[in-house]
Amino acid sequence: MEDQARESTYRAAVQLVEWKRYKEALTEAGRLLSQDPEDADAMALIAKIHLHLEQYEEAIRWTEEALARVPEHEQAWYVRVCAFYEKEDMAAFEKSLAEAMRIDPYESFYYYLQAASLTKKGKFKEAKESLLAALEIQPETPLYLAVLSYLEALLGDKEESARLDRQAIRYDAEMPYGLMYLAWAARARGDHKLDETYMRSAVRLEPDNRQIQDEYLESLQHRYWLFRMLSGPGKLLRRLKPWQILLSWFVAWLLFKPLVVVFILLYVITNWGTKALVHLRVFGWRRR
Amino acid sequence: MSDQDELAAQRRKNMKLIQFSKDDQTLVESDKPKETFADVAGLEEVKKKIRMNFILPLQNPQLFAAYGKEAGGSLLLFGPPGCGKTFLARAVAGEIEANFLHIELQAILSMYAGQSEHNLHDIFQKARESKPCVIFIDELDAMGGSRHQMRQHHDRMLVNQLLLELDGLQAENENVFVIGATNTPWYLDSALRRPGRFNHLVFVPPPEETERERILELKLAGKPADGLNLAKIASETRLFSGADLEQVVKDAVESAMERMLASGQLEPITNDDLRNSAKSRKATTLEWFATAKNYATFSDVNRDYQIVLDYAKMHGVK
Repeated sequence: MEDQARESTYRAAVQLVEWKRYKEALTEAGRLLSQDPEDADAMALIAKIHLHLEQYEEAIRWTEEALARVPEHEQAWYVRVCAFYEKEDMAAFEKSLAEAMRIDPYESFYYYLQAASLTKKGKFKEAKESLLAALEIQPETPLYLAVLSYLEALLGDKEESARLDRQAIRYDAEMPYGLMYLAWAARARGDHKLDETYMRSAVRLEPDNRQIQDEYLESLQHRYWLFRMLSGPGKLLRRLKPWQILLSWFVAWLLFKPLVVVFILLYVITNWGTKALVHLRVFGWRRR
Repeated sequence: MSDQDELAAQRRKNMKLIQFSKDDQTLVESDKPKETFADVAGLEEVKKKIRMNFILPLQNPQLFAAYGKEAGGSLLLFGPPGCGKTFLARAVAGEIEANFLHIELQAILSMYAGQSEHNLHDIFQKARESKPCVIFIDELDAMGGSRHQMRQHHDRMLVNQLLLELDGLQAENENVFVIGATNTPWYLDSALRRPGRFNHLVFVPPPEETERERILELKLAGKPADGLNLAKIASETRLFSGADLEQVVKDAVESAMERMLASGQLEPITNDDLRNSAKSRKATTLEWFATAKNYATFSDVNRDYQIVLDYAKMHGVK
């Protein structure tokens, strides 16, 4: 009877998380803990709720509590890895990721996170390897296919990128982050119309997400050919290593000093001009 | 009292409030609350819209039929939390003199958890047996969330069942009305918004200045107070919800009680207590408006939430 009541409270808390009612979910999870203060499952659930609430320190603290009781608690490790990643504490992320992968080697999301962290560092080939490992575990995950499509575009294989794009969208056309990656892939392939279409769909699905909003507004900026032309060199530079960027700026400055100044000025004017036009189009004469 | 008034009073007396009991997971009856629109402070525009679209067509179906308007349908109240959606729904039930079946979050949760023998069909069946009846589904987004985002088959089944019941209401039942309320209408399954289901969408905004003054007056009624300028406090609590104002009064009461404990004699609530309390709080509706504006700007293909943008612009909500 007690077990049944506990089970139903646990399910209610999980259900509330699904509904994004995190405060109510915390109350339910707290009830679980008051029934059994040593309940590692409840602690891991509380950690997960704090993760959703973007309270990463609290999430990490609760995973510590859960892991102190059950050292190989899979959900606690999952939340811990995600919290460190979101907090951008990369040293702790890598350490906990290695341990989490040892405990649950078939969790494909770990490989995805690994790929995302490697992409941030510009290690595209290594990131691709990680994603392929994730897809080996879950071959039909549209998000992974979308990220792989983006990586292929960055690595210069536009055809493969487009093929993966079609495959991802066939599985799911309503995944905000997946659509964002597909938009980036389309942008990297030079397909600005598709970039805008994907970003419009993504922002419709998740309009409250600031990153997706910003990316949508940027995709609208790419409508203007002057902006595309002037932002081209910048994009090229982003693919280079820091020392290569420094060297190319130095050489450009030495060779074409006045031209570099004109280019920078033009870029700044175009960037802000197109930003203003996009703002007017999306928000009208009101503040964001 | 005329015969008609007496009859109405008698009917009202017999009305029941049917609610879900969390303790034994059953539907229980209690005396119906007596609220009517007269008890709802302000919200004149909202009340007018509800009267036009919901109540008057029920009272004068022939008259409205002449204009091609049908009686009934369902009503969806949306807006920031704590602004009186539940109270308004109860008042609607009072206005049309119907039983009131209130489904809250806990009842919905129990349906998901599967621990109760009551399911959605039973609840609607109970309403059909108790007609005229208003079914009020609070936190409708919990029951009627977008099926696309649901992982569990069971969750999708519940939305399907809700759609079936709503369609059934139109086809088979008269005098059973459904009012839904939600803070997050954008999470609702789009099928719920089709004609014949929740086709009247009503925005319940935070109280206006005069309404805030009235709410403060009601919350302070019977409490010791001295030289209060409630109009001034009301003007300084722009966008505060009814629940926020209740908290302001609670904080002010605590301040007065602290003084009482120090002085040992009854200390009245002063204007400064209220002002300090109001200053220390931020309107909780602001967070809601930030989210609603995002949905209205980026996701509102049918322009359902244009009213929110207009309201935000008119009231300078940033």
